[in-house]
Amino acid sequence: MKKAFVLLIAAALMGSAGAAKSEAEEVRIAGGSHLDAFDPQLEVTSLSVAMHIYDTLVDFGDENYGSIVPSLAERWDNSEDGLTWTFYLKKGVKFSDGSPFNADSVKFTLERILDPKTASPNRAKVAEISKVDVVDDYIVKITTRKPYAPLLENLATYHLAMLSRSATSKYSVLEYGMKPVGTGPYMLESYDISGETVLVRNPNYYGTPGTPDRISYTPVPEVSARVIMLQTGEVDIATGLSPESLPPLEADPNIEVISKPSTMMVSFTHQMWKGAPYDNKLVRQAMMYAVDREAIVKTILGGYGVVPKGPFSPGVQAFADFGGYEYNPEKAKELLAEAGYPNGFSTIALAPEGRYMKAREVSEAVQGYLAQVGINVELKMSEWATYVTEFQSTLIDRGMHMLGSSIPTAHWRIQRIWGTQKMPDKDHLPPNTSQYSNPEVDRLLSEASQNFSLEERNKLYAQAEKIVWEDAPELWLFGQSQLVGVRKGFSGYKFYGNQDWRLDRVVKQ
Amino acid sequence: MGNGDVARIIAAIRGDKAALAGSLAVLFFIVLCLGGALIVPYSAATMPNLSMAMLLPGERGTLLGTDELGRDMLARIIWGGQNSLVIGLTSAVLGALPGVIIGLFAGYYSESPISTAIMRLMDVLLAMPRILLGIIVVTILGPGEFSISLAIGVSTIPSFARITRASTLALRSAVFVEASRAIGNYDRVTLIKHILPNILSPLIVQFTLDAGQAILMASGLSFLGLGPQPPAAEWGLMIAQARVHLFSNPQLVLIPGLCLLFVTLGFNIVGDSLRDAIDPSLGRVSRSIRSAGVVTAR
Repeated sequence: MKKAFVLLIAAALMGSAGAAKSEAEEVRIAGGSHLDAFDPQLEVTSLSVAMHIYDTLVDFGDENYGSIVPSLAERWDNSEDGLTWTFYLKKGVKFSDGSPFNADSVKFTLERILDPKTASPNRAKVAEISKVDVVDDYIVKITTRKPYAPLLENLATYHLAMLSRSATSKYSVLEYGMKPVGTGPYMLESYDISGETVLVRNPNYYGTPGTPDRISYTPVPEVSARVIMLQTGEVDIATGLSPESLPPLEADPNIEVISKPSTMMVSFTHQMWKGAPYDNKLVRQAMMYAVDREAIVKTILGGYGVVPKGPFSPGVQAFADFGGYEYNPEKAKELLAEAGYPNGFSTIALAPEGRYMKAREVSEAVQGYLAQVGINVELKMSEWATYVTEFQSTLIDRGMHMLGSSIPTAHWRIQRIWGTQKMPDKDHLPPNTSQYSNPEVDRLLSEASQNFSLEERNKLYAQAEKIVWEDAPELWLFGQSQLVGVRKGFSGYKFYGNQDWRLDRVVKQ
Repeated sequence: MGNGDVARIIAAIRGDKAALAGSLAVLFFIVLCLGGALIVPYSAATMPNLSMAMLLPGERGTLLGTDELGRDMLARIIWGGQNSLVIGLTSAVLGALPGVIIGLFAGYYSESPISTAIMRLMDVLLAMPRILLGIIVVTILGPGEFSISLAIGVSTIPSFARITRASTLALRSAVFVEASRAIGNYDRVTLIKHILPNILSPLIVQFTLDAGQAILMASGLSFLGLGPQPPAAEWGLMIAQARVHLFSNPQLVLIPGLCLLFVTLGFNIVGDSLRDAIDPSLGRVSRSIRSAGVVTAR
């Protein structure tokens, strides 16, 4: 506390000394979720914060995830047979602890995520890699078992952020999450799970230093509390706002509201592994017809959402619009009768509190719509941490659970959610929590992975999407918009389609 | 408490304007919620109708408007109030029955170490915050109407036990009790036929006051999501769900909030007036209870 106070005074003095400077001394952001750990290879909620600490070999060139540009690798090439990738690394890059970034760091990072002991849920992104060879300090060769085109885009995602061998191997996998060391523009100064987590500039950063001296993140689960903090100036940016919180913010001259479509698609996932009636395609389709998604988006979300026209949200790579599944309770009843459930059935739905936009209201509306076609839903809502353990287990009784996905790349999204996956053990579900499995989808994925033209791959992904859309392993509900409030005077922030944000270029007027 | 007492109580309430208003409020909500439920279908309170969402009171033929899912607020007030009232009254009964039995026993056999132990246990229960006790019970039994009735019931046992014990203690050496014993009645006959009828008045007061408190607490627990589950209605739950609209549509919070206020206030005023009305008719018992400092202990 004392230290923070001294820093604050120091910052204030510095601010007054360099009054002409228009750089932001500090930018404070509040979001809904607590930060857990900063190990990119594990599943973490601190993604946006950690992105400031790390860099990846390559990066996405635009906000639509359509092209790949250099980052820590200056350039790269792929052998004729498609099996060997050669990356030429930038020289003079250092980690925040002073150790150099080189080909060995790449080898270490990839071998660490591939090591089953790390237990990374994102291992499948690079599972095709058979070996990583250090050619010299700045050239690294990656060999895959078969041609694997998605490797490049997977290397651009945060889970493949480059780690330092010396800094990482000092700690166990669990401990490292609290001692992150990366090559990014910022580094972790202090961490507090329920309070403020602070990033400061990385003195060893190779590129143009970030503009703010400090970036701080505070988790505030209640939307209304975030809104008040933004209005009183306690924070500069509040993310994850809800539609009903917007009118007072829009009327506030000190605040700018940003509304952007996102890649987040929220749905109820059917428990196909449980057998009847969820393994019956007609039943799942009937449920799609029974729910009026247009009314949900218009009324409950106040228009801040997208009515699903396919399993992807607009903005995801290879998004395709198939349409269909218009609201038609009569057709739903016919399909249910055809499936052998003329009188419907009873089921349980699990949903998390406060994670997705208006989750409770949407769930209750779905409950009402399904009741009209004879499906009685018992709704169980719980807080996110409890909910996660519940939906991952096969022991908690339910017919569907609510989940959203914001994965922006097509291959990983299909592979992770709808690709055939084995259960890790009999009580736990893999990321494909419906246990949906269609050999045709798997075949299309495998075909796409060996095609090095993104345009042709996108056509294959669209075919897979169409199959998934017809099989309806999920009751798709809405594509969520991201609503962010920013205090006037700040600029240079970036909000991505997958709801990540970057603040290292923020400037305050 | 004989017929004369009842007449005196009714007369006292009729003379007391506040008591009259309180009883009318309680009566109004009981008729509205229990009677209204016979007329208004349950589906009107639970079935979303998004085309009718967020209507203001009076709009498109609704009396109290609709909520964010287009459900009629009046229907939700009626069915929600029924839940609130039933939970409140059930829990008051669930607290009163064991409380009275424990109190009778502890008062009549006050020298027994068992009764001392029981009363110390009651003190422990009394020291526990009621809401915490409620959360513990709900955690064990799972959320729902019955769990919160039980939770509130358990937490009210000590107050009934203490009042009953104090009153029983005061009557134990009364002549009619000694007479009952002298003719060879079993203790349970003496307790039930002779002592209980004579200590009913403070218990009725306590019950009335407690019912109001129990309704309030039921709504508190429902507000926390421990009570009836969606899509069911309950006043506390309605307030919890509508609080995000506090600034844009305050009526969604105000309507169930005011209902809760008037019902609780009504029960409290009736309880207070009952106490005032009963006091002079109680004579010795009442004074001794007063000197024990129990009746007003809330």
